[in-house]
Amino acid sequence: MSENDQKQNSPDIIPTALVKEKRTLSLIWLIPLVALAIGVWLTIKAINEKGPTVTITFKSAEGLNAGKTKVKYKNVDVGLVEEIQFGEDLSNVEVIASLSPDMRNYLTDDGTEFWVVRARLAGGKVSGLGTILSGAYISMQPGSPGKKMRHFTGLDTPPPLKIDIPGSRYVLTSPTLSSLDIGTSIFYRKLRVGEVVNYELDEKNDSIRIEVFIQSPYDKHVHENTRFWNASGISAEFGADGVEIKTESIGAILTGGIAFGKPDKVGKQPVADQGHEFYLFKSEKKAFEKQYIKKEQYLVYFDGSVRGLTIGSPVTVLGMHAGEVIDLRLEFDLRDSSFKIPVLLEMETERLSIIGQDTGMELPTLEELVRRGLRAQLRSGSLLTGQLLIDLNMYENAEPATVTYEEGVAILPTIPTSLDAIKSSLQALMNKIEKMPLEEIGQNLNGTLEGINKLTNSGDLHDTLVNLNKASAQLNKTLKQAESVAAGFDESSPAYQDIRKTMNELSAAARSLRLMMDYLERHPEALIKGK
Amino acid sequence: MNSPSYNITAMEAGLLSCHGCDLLSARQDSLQQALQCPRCGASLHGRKTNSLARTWALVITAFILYVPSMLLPITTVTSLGKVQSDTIMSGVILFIQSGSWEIALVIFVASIIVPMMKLLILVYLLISVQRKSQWRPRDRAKLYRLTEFVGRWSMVDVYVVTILVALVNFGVLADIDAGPAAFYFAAVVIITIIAARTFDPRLIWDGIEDK
Repeated sequence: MSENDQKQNSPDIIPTALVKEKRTLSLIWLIPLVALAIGVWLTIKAINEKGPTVTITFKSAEGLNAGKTKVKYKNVDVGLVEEIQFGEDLSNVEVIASLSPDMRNYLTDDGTEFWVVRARLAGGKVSGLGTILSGAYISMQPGSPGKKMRHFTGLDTPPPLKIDIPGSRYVLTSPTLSSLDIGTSIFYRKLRVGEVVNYELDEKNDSIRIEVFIQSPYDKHVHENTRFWNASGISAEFGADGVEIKTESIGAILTGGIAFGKPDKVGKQPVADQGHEFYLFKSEKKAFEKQYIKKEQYLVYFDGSVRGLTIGSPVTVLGMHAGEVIDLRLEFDLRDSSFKIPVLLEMETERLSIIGQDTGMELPTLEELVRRGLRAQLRSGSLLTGQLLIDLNMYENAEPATVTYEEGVAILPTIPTSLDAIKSSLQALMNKIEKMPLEEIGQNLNGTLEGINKLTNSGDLHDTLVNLNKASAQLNKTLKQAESVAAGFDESSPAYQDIRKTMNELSAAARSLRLMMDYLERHPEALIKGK
Repeated sequence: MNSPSYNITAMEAGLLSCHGCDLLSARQDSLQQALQCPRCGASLHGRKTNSLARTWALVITAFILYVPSMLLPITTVTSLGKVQSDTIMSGVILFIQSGSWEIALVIFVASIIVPMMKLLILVYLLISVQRKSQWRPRDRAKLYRLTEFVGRWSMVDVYVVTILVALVNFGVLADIDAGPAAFYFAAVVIITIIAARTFDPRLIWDGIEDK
């Protein structure tokens, strides 16, 4: 304690040390620091994860919910609808969605698409079934790098196909769209290989241009001579083999479809390029019918009824299909005040094979043929439907005629319709029938019947029958006596045999007599009319 | 004076009570040395050690964590392929929209109001003690007791989430997952309880006596 004493003893010399308050920071402050660090980390993460916000304009917000509807790409959530509001003048809705930062570089003016996915049935396939339970969602297609955009217009229908599927596009031309739609399936050997991507009206040719997509590797089956045909619905053919019903698939019945194939005979042709144009045939049959390019037109005039003749009615030569009717109209000729029907025919001359050219002989001209008797005639194609056809044939006895020309088209002479001839003879027959004295015949018949009546109801008939009965009984008696006589004979003697024979015959006679009696009793008129 | 009928506190008498064996021992006024119970050896404190700093630290921590617990989703419900994340507030709004405003009220009070009120009360107590406020110490003590009592009830929300996560687990049909906010919310509740514990209510009266 000496030191203490020293201090106390010398207060003026040595000052008392100041007590410094400990100001060490308590470790407890680490806790808020850690919390702060977590907070900062969360904030940075949130800012980093905050992706771009886009505005998508849709016609309607059917099925979309702010804060709930997801934006998906390849079925992965990439965003959420934040807000739904009306666009200007209330004509559409604007959907504001925040997307994940992954999408930042793909929201460009080049191919970025948004559309609403709902359950739908199109092109032979059902899609978006999941949305029945989970509600609609917005699907997106990221674009290629390009100018960045934040405002998009949503599609009404899903875009045709994802760009990332390899395959080829082709163009089909068709006079009508029929039941095709975007997404309609395309079949190859009943295998679904592609779909209709787009269609538009071709103003220039007044036809429909249908853009189709065939997936790889099936696109290598599309050759330049490949035929496409409309496989919509069911085609039923009634032929000699019965009914044949053709369809590509149940889906095709419901939603239509396109099929393609190549003609069997023609040799292999190069694979068609992208964008190659094909004609869309109405049916498989039409697609594979032999094509005749060379066609010649002829004109024929009919003055009788052509009811049953239409555009497309066949023209035959000796019953072989050789062309068709392409036009017919009604004309009134002021010169002789008569109706005329000019019918324009188109003949596929390539159907005719020429043989014997090696003999050096030349083809006869039309004039020559007509001089030899070539005539056109209206004929009935089917009695059931009344369809008419035009038959060209050689009639050697036909009245002489010549070929004339109308606007460069040859006019073939005609001979009267065979149907007309039938009609007129039928008319004559009817006239004859009408002239017959039907009334008189009827009266005579009546008189005859009365006489018969009198006869059958008179007592004479009855008496006759009674007498016949008696005769029959008598006969029976005689037979019995004869039998007893016969019993006396020896079986082997000729007399016995004779008698036996006689007896059998008598017995048969008696039986038929009885039968006749019975019959007469039931049908007394048989006496007059016979059996 | 608000407390005229009281005579003397243990502190004023220079006495310390042992937390371990309740032995009353005289206090030595030495700032440098830790005090020890002469009977059982437990360390002796006149007041909770470093009470204000600790409480402040914990309160600030709770405030920081309160933000993510409100902003992040607390549950993620998967129902028939539909995924929906809800924060506490959006859950309250959902219940109001579906008509069950009673449940909405319970959740709102238990999960949003109560934790916030507790933190605000603690902040007020801390400030008032530091400024040696004379104002209504009895009511402030009451507030403190209320805070301590109510604290554990905020855990109800966390329990509901854990029970739901455990019960609703039907795969694709229906599934509930706890969101990140559940963690932060539980942290807020627990840290607030600890903060209430580290606060020494005797400090309220110390300020009055000092004057």
